[in-house]
Amino acid sequence: MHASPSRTCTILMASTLLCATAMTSPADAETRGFVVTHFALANHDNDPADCPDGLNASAKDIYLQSLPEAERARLSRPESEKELWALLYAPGGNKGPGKRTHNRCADPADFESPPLKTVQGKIAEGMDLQGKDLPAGATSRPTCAHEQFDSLDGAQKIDNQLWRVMGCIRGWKRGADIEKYAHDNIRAGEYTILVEVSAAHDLNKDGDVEVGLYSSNDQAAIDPAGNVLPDASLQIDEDPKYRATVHGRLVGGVITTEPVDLRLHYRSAGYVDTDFYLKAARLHLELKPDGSAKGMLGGYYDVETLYDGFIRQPQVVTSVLLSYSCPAVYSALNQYADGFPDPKTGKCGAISTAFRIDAIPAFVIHPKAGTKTADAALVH
Amino acid sequence: MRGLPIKAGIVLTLALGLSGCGPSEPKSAGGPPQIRRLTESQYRHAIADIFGGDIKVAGRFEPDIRADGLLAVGSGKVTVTPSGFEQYDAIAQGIALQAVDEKHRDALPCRPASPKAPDDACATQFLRESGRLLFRRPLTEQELREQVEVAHAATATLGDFYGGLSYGLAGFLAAPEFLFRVEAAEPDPQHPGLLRLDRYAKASRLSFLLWDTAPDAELLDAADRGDLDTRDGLKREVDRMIASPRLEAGTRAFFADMLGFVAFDQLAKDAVIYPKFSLKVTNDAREQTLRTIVDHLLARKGDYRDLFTTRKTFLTRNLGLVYRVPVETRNGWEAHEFPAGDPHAGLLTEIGFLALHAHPGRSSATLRGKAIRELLLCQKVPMPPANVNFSIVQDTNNPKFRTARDRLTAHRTEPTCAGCHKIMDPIGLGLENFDGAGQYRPDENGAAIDASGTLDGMNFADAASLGKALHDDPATTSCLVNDAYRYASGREIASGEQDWMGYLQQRFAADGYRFPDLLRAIATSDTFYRISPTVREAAR
Amino acid sequence: MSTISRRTALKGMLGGSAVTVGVPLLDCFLDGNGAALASGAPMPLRFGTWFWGCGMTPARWVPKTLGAGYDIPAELEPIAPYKDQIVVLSGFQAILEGRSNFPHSSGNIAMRTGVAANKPDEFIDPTIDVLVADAIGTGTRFRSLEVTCTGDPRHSYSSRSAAARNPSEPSPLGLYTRVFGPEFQDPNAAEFKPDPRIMLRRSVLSAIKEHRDRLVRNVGAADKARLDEYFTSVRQLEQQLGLQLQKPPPAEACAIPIKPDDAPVGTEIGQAVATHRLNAQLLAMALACNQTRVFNLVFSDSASSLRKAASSTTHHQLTHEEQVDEKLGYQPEATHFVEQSMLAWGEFVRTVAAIREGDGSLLDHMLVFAHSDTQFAKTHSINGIPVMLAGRANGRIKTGLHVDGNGDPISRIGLTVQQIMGVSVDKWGAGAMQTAKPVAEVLV
Repeated sequence: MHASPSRTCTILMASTLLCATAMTSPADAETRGFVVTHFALANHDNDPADCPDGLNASAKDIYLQSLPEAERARLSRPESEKELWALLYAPGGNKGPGKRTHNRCADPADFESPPLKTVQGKIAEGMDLQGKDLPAGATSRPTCAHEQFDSLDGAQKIDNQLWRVMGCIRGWKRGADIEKYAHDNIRAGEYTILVEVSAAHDLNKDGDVEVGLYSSNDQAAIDPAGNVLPDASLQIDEDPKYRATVHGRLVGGVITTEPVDLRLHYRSAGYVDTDFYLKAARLHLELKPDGSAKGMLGGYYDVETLYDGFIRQPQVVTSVLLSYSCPAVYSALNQYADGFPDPKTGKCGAISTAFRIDAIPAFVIHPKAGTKTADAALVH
Repeated sequence: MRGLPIKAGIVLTLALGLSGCGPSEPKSAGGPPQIRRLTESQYRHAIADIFGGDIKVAGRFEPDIRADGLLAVGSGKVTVTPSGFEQYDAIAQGIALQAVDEKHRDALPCRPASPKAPDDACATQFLRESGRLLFRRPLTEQELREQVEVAHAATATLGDFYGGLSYGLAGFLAAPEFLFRVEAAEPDPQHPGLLRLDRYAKASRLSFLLWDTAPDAELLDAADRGDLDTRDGLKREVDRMIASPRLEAGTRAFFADMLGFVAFDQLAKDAVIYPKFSLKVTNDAREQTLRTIVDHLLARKGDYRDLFTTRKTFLTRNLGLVYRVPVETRNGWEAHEFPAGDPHAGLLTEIGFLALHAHPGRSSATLRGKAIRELLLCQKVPMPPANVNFSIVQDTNNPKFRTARDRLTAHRTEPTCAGCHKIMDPIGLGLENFDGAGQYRPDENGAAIDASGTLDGMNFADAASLGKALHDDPATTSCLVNDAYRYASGREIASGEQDWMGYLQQRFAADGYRFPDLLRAIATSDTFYRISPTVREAAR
Repeated sequence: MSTISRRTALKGMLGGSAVTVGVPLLDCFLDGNGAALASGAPMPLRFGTWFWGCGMTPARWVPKTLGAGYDIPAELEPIAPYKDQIVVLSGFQAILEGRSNFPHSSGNIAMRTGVAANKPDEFIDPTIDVLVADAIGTGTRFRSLEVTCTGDPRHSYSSRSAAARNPSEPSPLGLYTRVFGPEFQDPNAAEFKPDPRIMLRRSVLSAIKEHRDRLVRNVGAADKARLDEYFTSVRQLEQQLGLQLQKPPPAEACAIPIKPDDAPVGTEIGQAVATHRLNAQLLAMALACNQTRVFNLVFSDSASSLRKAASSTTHHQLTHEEQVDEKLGYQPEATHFVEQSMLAWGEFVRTVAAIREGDGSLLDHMLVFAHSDTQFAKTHSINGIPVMLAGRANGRIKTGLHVDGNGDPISRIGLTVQQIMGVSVDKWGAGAMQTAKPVAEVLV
């Protein structure tokens, strides 16, 4: 389904045959496509109440603090850098993600670490994943016991345990490295996310909708200043694993969907090549009058996938740059995970969170059934 | 109208008007023989044909000059400046070295007795063959001998046969007989007292018109045999060349010239105002228009006039971004048809026309109107007078004059301006629903755009109906005929050729305005090859 | 003779632009005055034109005082440091005698050929630089070098005839490659071995010249002239190659510049300024290395297509469409481009003045003829087209003056320039612009 001409029509003059065509098309069915221009953890803005004990130290800092003063001073000097790294991360060198080496980030469970400083504040952004706005008839999902946050306006509860865990890590805060990479990498063509909304009715009216969430192997079109351009034609991923479709309701310009398991490519050149794997993901999306869309995608991020993709790095230097200790993060993720408990052990394997989404119009291209698209687009 | 069949074996002299097939070719005195410099595109095509498509042609070509609206006419007026020749010489050296390098040696007709010493027999064989193709006629013995001597001396100096041979070849490539199409005339035995182009000049005219390249070996062979001097022989070669897929190259070259596409080289839009308009869009826009033309005129054998109303075109994703339509093909082109009622209809609504004739940051009814007048209708617009007061035209942010029409209306109240602007602006304003990058817009600064106007008595309401007005205007087809003949002959219409132009126009109409048939009518005529050295250009 | 190194360390300039360095001439190559080569010949005299489009604002450009020590109005600020080496000429008229004033064309054609044009953009007679190059340019590798800062090779006002307009080099990298690329022969290289391949190329060209008689036998006069132009170009290259077979005379200020980046060129004002910077440095070094004696530089074309980024209008459009600001007394947006043009001109003068040669600078040994196509672009006025002559021309010009032409034909300037450059001419121009009266105030 392609966006119909009526999407771009402003009804002004009787002589605009374009509009006349749209208004007489059968059933006024409409489809709108979007390309995501920003996709990042819904992290609450920097509030001193969040991290009263300060931010987390990096593994390097922890190690240095554990040394006698003289040794600490010696290893802190620029010329000792190589030696310091070797001490931190040798022996065995670095192996790729998933390969067990004797390495803090690859084998976090094998290492001791002071516990991660987590978010102490009461307010967070995100979604209420249990209770209030489940579709009628759906029962509340089983979770592991945890504290819920309050929303900004105090009107609802928020499940965002991932924010609790990561919120006192410098690189994961609002405006910091992770968020910046997520923004820049879309523009660098590292990953592309498409959203498609279709209905049997015109999308200016309330009603039932179908929502598609897709990865794309096509790069978003950008202008010379680095902004994402609207109206590009972008094809959904050939691999069905990276496509999800789900029912939803459109009310007052805001779409709310039912839960769906979602996998999307997420890449940052040289550092991250992983799946954004959200279980029971639900979308809140506001369709704005200027054609753009803004909202949130909430659900339970699979812990192993998250740790594997973001924390277990081939270059463990990331933990130093973003300032955390891998074993501490691993421990905290498992401790605070609150979704999808294992039926036998009761241990939760996914952690609640939400991601902010901004999107602008795009043409979502569906490959014709049976055809293989031969052209390579993004090359990794 | 195909009329009565012509009995085989009867050679009809059309000058006597004995043909029973519709309008008959009027007598024409013809024009002077031309000396035309190869255009860059013809140069490249010729080299690719003769030495292979993998030969790199590296260098800057002296700009082709436009005269009376066509590069083809300008080619008969330009020469080669010192810095231009410096480039031709460097390019020639590069081509010659590649043509005899190890990759290409197997294609040579012979091997030297020793690769380190001169071998005049082999050099002669190679240089005779390549010289014939480069000079587009057989070499004289003197010409051949001169280059064999150059190659011989060079081989002796370098101790390398192939290295030496490349200097002999470079001599052909930098020679005026290659760079210029020098036409020779001879007495016409079928019309005593009159002159015609000689057989090789005919071959060149045919191949540059139909395929935008030098005559291939088959055409040169036909010329050798004298076939091009007979009705049937000429027809056979013309039919072969029109039926060939290479007709596309000739068609592209003609329309790129007629529509002034060299301006694409300098086309740049403001990156802040039109962020979608990249260099890729510029290149694709040019190609889109050429594909539309070639598909319609050649593949579909369409009526030329329908180019201004057709909704069928070709798009890439870069273009889809600007037209705001989905394009499935990831890299490359796909056919696209705009739906009935869509404002995109005809060449005038393609980015290749709209953006080319506009400013870097806004549209221009005047530039577009001028382009339609001059390029599509062959109507001259006078130069602006020197002491013009432009102060009335306000900037684009003046709330009193929100649309271009408003601004230009205020402008047109000056009597000295109105005379010319009323020839251009009303037509160009019909395209104001498309901004300076060719993007559709229903309004400008919040005010509705009125795209109505009149084209020489025909009213139109918007761009699509402007296209229809162009379709219905007899000046559109007569302009194409006029341009095609000037392009083919490389000169202005000569005095005494008016009847001939009328005849061509009648035939074009009778043939359903099909472009290949127009080319055939020119290529199989007597007039095209008629030479009269003393005839001067018709007063314009 | 002291054994000092001939090269100082190259000073890099910002942004990867070409490097220039002035190397002091070794005293042993100079005679006692330091003003000539040991051979007794004077320092080679160079000539160039520097063109900018769309004129200036007369009230802000024309000095109020005449003669030496003239005042510097706002738009002439950039030449203030060099005013004692620059002659400003105002008030000369392009006289068209009833022929049309083709906008941005007739004035320029009058300036450079002394003739009132019949058709826009048609240079029928040779332009001044061609006449000067014929006189002084035959002894160097390039008879002349043409460059443009706008990206379009058609922007050139150097022409021998209507059919032979010398194209401009649009890219500094292209200019670099042409002059300092593989075929560059360092005039100061210790060893010199003529390249046999150059001899072979020359022999190829000699053979081509033999075609002339055969070809011109049966052609009309116009075509014969075109073919002769072609053969002249062949001969020019042949001579150029011939010079490369001889050891070049020493050029003490010569240093090979750093190869410029292949930056995009175009009409955005920032691009034009950056391109100009590189072109100025490359041309200055080409002159110092005796690769040519004559150059032509176009900063902006005559109907200036320069524009600001994020603006919808070109300089030319602004000159016509922008209102004159009542308080300021000029068109602010359009004048920005005039100011940028004059800044670039100042930079050009500074660049050639920075190259030490003999007892002075390259600027002392050259004459640069800077001019526009119109006086006030808004009205296409060609009365008082701005002209400046920069340089001391080896002492052949009285410099540092402001001269008012009082409505005299502008061809007087062209005549004067030719005489300064040693062209044998006593009369120049056609019709009402034919003149035998040079600008005596500047002649020595």
